[in-house]
Amino acid sequence: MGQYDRHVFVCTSGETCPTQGDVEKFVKILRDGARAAGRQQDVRVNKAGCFSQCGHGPMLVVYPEDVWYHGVQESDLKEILDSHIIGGMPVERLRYNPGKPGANKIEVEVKTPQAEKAAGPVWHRVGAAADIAVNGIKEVAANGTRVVVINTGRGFVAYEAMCPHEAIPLAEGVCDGSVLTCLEHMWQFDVKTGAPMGDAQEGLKGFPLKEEKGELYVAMA
Amino acid sequence: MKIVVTGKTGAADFECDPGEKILHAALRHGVELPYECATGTCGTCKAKLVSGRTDSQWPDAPGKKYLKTEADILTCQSVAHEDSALEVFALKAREATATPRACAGVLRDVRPLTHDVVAFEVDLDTPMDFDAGQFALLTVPGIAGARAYSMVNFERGARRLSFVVKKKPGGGVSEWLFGGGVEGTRLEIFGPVGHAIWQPGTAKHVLCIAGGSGIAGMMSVLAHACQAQHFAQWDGHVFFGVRGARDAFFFDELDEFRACFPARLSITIALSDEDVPDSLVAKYPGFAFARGFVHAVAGERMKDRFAGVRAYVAGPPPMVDASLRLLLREARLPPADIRYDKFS
Ligand SMILES: Cc1cc2nc3c(=O)[nH]c(=O)nc-3n(C[C@H](O)[C@H](O)[C@H](O)COP(=O)(O)OP(=O)(O)OC[C@H]3O[C@@H](n4cnc5c(N)ncnc54)[C@H](O)[C@@H]3O)c2cc1C
Ligand code: FES
Repeated sequence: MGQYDRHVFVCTSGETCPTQGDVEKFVKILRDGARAAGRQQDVRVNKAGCFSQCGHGPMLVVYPEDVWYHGVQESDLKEILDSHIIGGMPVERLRYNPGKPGANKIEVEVKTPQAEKAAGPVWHRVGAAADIAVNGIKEVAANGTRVVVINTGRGFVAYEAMCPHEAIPLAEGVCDGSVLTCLEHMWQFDVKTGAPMGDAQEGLKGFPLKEEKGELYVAMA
Repeated sequence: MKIVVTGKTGAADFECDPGEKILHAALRHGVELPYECATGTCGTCKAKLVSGRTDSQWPDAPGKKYLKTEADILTCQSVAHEDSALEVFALKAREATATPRACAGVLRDVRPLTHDVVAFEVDLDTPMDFDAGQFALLTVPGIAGARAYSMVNFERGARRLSFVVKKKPGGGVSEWLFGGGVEGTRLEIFGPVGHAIWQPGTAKHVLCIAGGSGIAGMMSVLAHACQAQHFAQWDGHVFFGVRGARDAFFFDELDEFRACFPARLSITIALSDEDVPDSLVAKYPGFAFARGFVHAVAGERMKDRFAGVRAYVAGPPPMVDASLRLLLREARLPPADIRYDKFS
């Protein structure tokens, strides 16, 4: 047994994580949360250096379970805190599993002041086209923002990862080639435009997507 | 107290009594706030508190994981302490169903159907109208929170509601029902509620996919549809999944429905955990039997027969989700023709 019930490491000084989210703020939120739960003695949150998984961030690791989280958003922190750090139940949906051990960097554009100034979108590689079957829906991280990429059978499209209704992951939904249905409460969207259909009251926010040499890229503003 | 609700499609207001759940107050005044389970698990009843003060009666409700901000509440678990204003996505158009209300009834005739399924009746103080496929919220004295149970019977002005409940190990109410000495207990009841309804004049074939006690509401649908002679003109396909032969119940009742419309009403039993014993096939020659999960069996046997179907699905959440995938992706049914209750 170590010194703490939970020991959390947040990458705050790697090459990409700090550009993919406000990781210093993450540390503060997690520390405040542990304190608010009266667990400041048992939980330690440390700033950490690079985990050599650049491009998958923002990233944090929780011990003793040795659970790695990737693409973490500020809005995910409460769940990680309540469920895992305090409650001991890892948040499966955010778990990092690149399928191979050791270092695993992917190329992402590092937001430099210059890149921000540059006109036009910045493209982020999100994976291989061949990995998504027809009508398949896959959740990926593009520059730290989670998006779903869908193979409509006549091309790929990218939307926000969560149903605007109740923040249910759309990756758990169903696509039949023309309609995307969130399984939780049957909100439906036109898969080509993201426009709401049926009961849905809001459409999906879309992102530009391009395919090059079998690789998919999503543009972030 | 006055509660004002605004949604994208309009606004409504209603009175809420002290201690009354906001959802119940809305529904009994004919205001169709969104809901699904009405028992704190699904998050569908989420609303944003814009002004006023409310309290959750079940701070640990699993449905809370769907709430995005501090201002969000679950109306099915919340009571109001003063006049309050809420915001929801949309107020739904009401289907022509009976307006629910709070009442009471007495537990009668508790009888085991299998090793882990029990049937019972509730004698109501005042008669209730409900639609086939609806459920009621039952509160047992001394056990926190209401439980949703689907009515098995169907009749107008019902004085008796019939239920069937599967034992959940460690479950408050289901274990209590199995404990003995419960006859005569007075229960608080709120109902009828639920959208998985069948009404006469629905010009569609009927497909029922039920797992375990999910058959409850289907029995009500079949009772009403048989009364209305629906299967003289339309097909009925019932898929009922249980683990093994020892989990069988309601087979005789289902066979009676089938015998009324043998040409168009078919019953298929799916056994998930064992091969179909010959004794069962011999006992119910009018049924079809298959080994497998009920959604998979339904998918196989309904292939190319989904046109003009209204589907009813009920049972454990994984079985319901698998069935919804089938009905959306393979059958391509519109959501209005997919009526489901997740027994979460
Ligand atoms: C629409 C619908 C219809 C259903 N129909 C049937 C049916 O016909 N037959 C059947 O067997 N089952 C049915 N169920 C499942 C049933 O409602 C119960 O979840 C199940 O019987 C287990 O109850 P329990 O008391 O044994 O278990 P428990 O684990 O004690 O409780 C289960 C449920 O009770 C509620 N609950 C528990 N504690 C509290 C609390 N403190 N405050 C408020 N609520 C609380 C929650 O909804 C919880 O999920 C249905 C469920 C739904 C949503
Ligand atoms: S309706 Fe309130 S949580 Fe399901």
